[in-house]
Amino acid sequence: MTETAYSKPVPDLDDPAMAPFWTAARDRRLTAQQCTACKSYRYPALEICPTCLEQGANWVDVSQEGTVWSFATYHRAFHPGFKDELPYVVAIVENADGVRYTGRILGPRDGLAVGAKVRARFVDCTDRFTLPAWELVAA
Amino acid sequence: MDKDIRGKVAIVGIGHTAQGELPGQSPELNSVLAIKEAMRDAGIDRSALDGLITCKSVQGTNTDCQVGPLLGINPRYAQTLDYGTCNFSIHLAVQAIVTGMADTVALCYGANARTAKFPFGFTAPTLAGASGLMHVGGPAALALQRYKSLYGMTDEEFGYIAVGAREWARRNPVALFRDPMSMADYLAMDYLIEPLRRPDLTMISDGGVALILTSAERAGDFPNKPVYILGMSEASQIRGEFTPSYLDREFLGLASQQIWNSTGMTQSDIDLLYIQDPTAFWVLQMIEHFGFAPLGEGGKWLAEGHTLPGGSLPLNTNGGQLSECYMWGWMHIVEAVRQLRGVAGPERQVSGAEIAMYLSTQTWFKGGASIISTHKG
Ligand SMILES: [Zn+2]
Repeated sequence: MTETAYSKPVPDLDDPAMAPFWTAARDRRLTAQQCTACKSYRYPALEICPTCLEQGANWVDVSQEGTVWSFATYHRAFHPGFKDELPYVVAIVENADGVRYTGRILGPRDGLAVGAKVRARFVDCTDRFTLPAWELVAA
Repeated sequence: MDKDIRGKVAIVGIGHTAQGELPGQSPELNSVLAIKEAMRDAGIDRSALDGLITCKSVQGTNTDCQVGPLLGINPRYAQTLDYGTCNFSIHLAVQAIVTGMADTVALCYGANARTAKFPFGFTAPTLAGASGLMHVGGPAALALQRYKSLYGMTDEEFGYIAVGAREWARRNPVALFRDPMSMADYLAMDYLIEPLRRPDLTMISDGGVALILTSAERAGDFPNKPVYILGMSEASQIRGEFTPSYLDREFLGLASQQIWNSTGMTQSDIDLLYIQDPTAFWVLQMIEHFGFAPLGEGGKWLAEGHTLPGGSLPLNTNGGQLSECYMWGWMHIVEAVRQLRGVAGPERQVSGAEIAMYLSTQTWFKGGASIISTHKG
């Protein structure tokens, strides 16, 4: 798979604040920043903990199990790269550690609903970019 | 300290350009052309203005320093708001006037996003963007899907917002979308970003809008019936996506409490309701958060027909951004002033309307409310 074959938007992998997240995704790890002082999670990256206003933080692995907060089904491609995947689903997922991610729901959609259980799934898109996404877990 | 702003400031001039496609006209030009119309409406020339508050265009232009050279004045008071939505602009003007920093202020918004082909479908370089979350309708569809799941609203109940907007727009010669759209027509349309259909999302159009505000002492010198600001409030959720369930926009409840408490008014005092409508779902949320319908019952309330022509609480009688034009809510205030002056024309004038309320938001970051009336108190 090459960079040119991938026609959908690629995030800024070189943004130093978020690079650890994308690097971890290559290894099938879902991560969030964790405050070294109060242990609060935050995602995406922030320069300071909004809970305690301390700056120290590490990227740590977090749960790959989550719940659908809500979802939207795109029937039109506002970006041409999504044309062949219509209709596609984007969801806000809250994982078991309380961290929220906005990402794709891939695979079968039977049982897709607010509150549905999902687990992380990682899609290698280019040589450098792996997309963390979600799939429904059979109830 | 006297905190009561009731009746101290009035809208004495309204103006706007044609709406739609204005090729070759910058946001700043559209602003100045609108100010020209508003000054004509107010019966003044530029020498009467000692304040200018501009609202940035969607591209971030139309600042006071960019409008100033075209407008040809150096007013005592000049400011720019990032996202005026008219409410925030009006509130800033009231603060400037009651504190004596300005006496007569022009407010303006100008846009050329349509002919400039502003890329509303762009994606952020983030996980959400890479996952295909795009367009203002994406977050609204997420919020609506959750709402429907929690409260069971039907598509038909929700459809009253878009269908009602079109009913009103058909009575408004300025409106861009005037073709009839019945509920059956609406329900027959495909989803765009499910559960939103195309008519649930704003159009994109070019234009300029301006208002002239002045102190109550001076308002009587102007030719039109002054429309006074009776109350105003704001609330923020500037933590944005770091606020859990930010799309529910529960922070708007604070703006609601403040405006009802500070004015002593209730929802039943409002004759006309205007809600900025980038998406129909933000309208439903504001109807509930400002207490016009209980949480979760907005759809049933809409289906009772209150907001339609002939209803007890007409909503967006201009057709709103869903059917009139896309001016970040500024044309809602122009319409409210016309209605309160009693000059909205035979097709859509609401008889006996004396008090109007305007609600607007900057997505999920800020919200504002204003109550206006031809009565001072
Ligand atoms: Zn902390």
